[in-house]
Amino acid sequence: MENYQSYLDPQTLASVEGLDLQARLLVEGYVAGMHPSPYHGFSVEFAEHREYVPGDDVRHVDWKVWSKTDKLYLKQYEEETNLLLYLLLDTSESMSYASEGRVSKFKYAQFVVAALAYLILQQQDSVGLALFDDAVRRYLKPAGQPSHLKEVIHLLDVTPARDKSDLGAVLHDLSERFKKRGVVAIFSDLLDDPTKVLAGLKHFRHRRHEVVVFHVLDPDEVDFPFRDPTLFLGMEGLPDVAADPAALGAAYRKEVGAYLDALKKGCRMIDIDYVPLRTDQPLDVALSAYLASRAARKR
Amino acid sequence: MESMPTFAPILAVGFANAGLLYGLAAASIPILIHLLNRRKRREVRWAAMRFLAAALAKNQRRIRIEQWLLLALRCLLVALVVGAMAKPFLESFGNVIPGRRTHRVVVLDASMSMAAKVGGTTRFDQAKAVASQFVKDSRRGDAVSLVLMGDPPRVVVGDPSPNLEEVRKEVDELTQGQGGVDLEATFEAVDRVMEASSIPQKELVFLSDLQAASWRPRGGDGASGDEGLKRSIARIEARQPRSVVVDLGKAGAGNRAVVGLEADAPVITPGATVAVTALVRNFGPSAAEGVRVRLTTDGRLGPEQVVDLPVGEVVPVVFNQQFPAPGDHVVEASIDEDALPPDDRRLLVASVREAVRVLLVDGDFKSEAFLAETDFLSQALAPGESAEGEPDPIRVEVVPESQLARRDLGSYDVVALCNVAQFSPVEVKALEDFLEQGGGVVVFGGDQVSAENYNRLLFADGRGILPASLGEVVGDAAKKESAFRFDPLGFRHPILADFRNQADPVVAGLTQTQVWSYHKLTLPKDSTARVALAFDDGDPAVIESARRPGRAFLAALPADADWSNWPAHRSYPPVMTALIMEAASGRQADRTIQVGRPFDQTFPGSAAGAAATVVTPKGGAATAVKLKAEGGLARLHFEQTDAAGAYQVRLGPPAPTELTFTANPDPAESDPAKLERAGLAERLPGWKFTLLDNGRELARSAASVGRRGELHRPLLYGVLALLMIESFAAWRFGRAGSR
Repeated sequence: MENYQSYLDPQTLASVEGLDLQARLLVEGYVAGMHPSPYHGFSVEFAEHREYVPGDDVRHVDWKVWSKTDKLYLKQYEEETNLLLYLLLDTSESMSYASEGRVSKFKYAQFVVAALAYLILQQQDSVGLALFDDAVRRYLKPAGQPSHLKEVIHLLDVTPARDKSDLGAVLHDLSERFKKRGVVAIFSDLLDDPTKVLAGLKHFRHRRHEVVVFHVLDPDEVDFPFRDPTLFLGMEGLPDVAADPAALGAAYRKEVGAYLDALKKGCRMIDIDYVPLRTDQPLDVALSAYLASRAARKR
Repeated sequence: MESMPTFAPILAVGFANAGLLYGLAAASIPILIHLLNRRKRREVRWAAMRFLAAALAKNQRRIRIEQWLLLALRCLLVALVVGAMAKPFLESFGNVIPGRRTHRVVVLDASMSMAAKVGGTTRFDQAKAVASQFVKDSRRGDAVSLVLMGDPPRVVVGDPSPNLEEVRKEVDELTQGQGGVDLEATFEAVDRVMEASSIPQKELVFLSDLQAASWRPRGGDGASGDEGLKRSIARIEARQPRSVVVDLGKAGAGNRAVVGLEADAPVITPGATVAVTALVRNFGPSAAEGVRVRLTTDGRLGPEQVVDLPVGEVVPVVFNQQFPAPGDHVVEASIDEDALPPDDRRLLVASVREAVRVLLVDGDFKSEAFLAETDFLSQALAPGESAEGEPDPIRVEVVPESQLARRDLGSYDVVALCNVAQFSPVEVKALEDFLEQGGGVVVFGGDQVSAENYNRLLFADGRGILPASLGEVVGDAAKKESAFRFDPLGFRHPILADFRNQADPVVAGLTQTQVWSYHKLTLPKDSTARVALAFDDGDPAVIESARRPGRAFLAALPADADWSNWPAHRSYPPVMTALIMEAASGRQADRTIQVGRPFDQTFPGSAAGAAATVVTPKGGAATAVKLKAEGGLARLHFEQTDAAGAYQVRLGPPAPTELTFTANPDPAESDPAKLERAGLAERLPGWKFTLLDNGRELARSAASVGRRGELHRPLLYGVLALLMIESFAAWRFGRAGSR
């Protein structure tokens, strides 16, 4: 058997050609490591209870019912067919930042997006994809056929442009477009005013979407490990800044911490799952975070 | 830095290595590094710019201040290091005089007493070691001069030398002298040496055993005559030096020495028995018994005597010695070596003459026996009674007065002028030159003598040959009415030595002589001439002139029997012989000099320009000297007599001669009596000095003076402190950045 688990390392995965293959390897690797059967009993909608008969999987026993009625019932899930997953991927220039020896934030997000698309489409659910920077650049309507994966992969296969992101505006725009309720998964570094971002996210919530924010950041951006005097070249049209990181590191980390806190707190307030991702983490963290968040919502 | 400022600044700093101050430019190195760092910084495309900008906006000011602070610290650090390397020192700080650049004058006592051995090394070696250490302890920028205390003093390093290594080498090469000390000249030399340097701060260090004899002004204890010394001290004190005397001596040290050696005969002739007297002195502290005194002649061990030496007494030890061969013989008296060896032997040159050659100039020359003026005299001097093969010790030649000018006086030892009527200036000059060469001149009176010519040319108001002027003739020799008799004046004079302690009949042979007539001789006031024999009315009969090196005698009566019956008396021959011998003694005078004093010897004028070589007791190559013409004479002047012992002089053509002279230590140097602080202060009034007991104290005090005012140590401590502050600040600022 192939050692799929090694593909959970973003670096290793990046060495494989082809996003579709990468997505498959990632998912297989994830599955090999985590669950014997990821597809089992996985659904968005709860259907009904039925009485337990010997031979049923005890995992699906509804213990709450048992505790009340002293009878064993199984939870029956309706095979989810109409789960909609909107994948939103930030393609602004800032996403192209990659610290030495790591994949860029965009690449990392790309893997996760592709893997999720692959995973969802395997489940016969629908996946939509939107690429944006300061506006929505590409949009693929949700569809559920397995062949839809190809289109998703094809659309995904871009490189970040030299454009700014304007997350607030984009989110507002997209929340208007997504007519059908579903799960909105946003992949971005969210380098914008937190209040604007949160306002946009609120809009989704307002339209009854479930929202998972995958906040992709490079470890450098969080830890700021530089020591030597450095000229920081601004992306997305921001001016260059010369600074001595040795003297500035603490202040920077304080700023980042405050920002992340604000974001986390804001997401919690409006019941949004916030998943921080660092490009040095194994990719399964992202997947299991998503799945965990889904599972939590099921309960 | 070089000259004393007219007003004293509150704080003046000098630099020992001022050239290094250009290194202060190195203080800009941290700035350059800072700028280069800025230029060489890396570039990063950065996404999370909003946080960076925010952090920067809030901390820009603090970071800038920290950076400036660090930069300033680093610049200061470099500047301090460079400053310390330049070795700055305080020139002045208000009224406090710290150890700025100093001219150090080191004076080593090189007198003979410094040769005293203490535990294997001599005091002089100790002094050298102390001096060497002292020079080594000098700071950079200091200049050192070196003077040897002696007689005469020697300036070894006169121009203050900043090259301390060279000076130390000079110190190592110093050799012990064997002379005394000319204190006045020494202080004069110190004054000159101090004058030679413009460095205003002076330090004067004497390294001496403080022997009382060395530290004695020439005029005696505190007496007048040391005006020069007082002047020198005043001039030295005017420079406000820090004077230190390091006492290397030891109180109560003992010593035995041969303090004198002389032969009693004025002229030594072959075969004559000469009493050679060695004076041996025990300077204490305890009496010595059974001290062996040896006499060595020309290197051959001679007789030996054993004597007891009470403390403080001079014991004469007499050896009766004969010298069979003419020539110069070196006689050495020695005792067993003690702690101070140089004075345990003493030398004497016995110049043995084949015979004393006397020229009798007859003013009344007649061929008949005992009618000529000189007949009695020549008979008295050379009776011709000597044994076969042994010539008379005195050889006489008689010439009429007309021959005087034609004779080369150089080949005689004594010229006796008997009743010579008058002299020409040429003859007087020849006589003066003769005296100058150590010859003896004896002038007898007589009826032909022109008092006017004598007084004008020979007396010349006291400047001439004669010690007294001739007056009228007293008495009447023709009538022979009243006679004068001799007053031997207690037989003090050597020419009457034979009559000392003799029986009355013998003495009567002199005192009963009848003199009917004589020249009245008048000694000038303050004359140093000695009256050897007088008349009973008090007038001088025979006067010895004080002229040196030759001897001149003036007799108030003629050499014949015209004015007296003396020539017929038995006392006449011995007195005349003694007189001639005394007169001839100038020929051998001063062959013995004191160490350090120049040796002077005159030769006939014909020897002028001749080359001479002198072999010194130190051995080695002979020193060449030239004879210089001086007023018709040739003079040998030799100054390198700093070693005790015999010196061989060899004269080349045109006057090939060999002679020997000896140099002996100053007997005063043998006295180990030592001065204490009070005694020294009393002998050198006005001199402010510190007395240190040994060299180690000098090193201590010199080092403390040396370090005072030096700033590089505090600067280096500053560097150390700054290094720590810099490290701490960098860590602190860095920590603030990485927190």
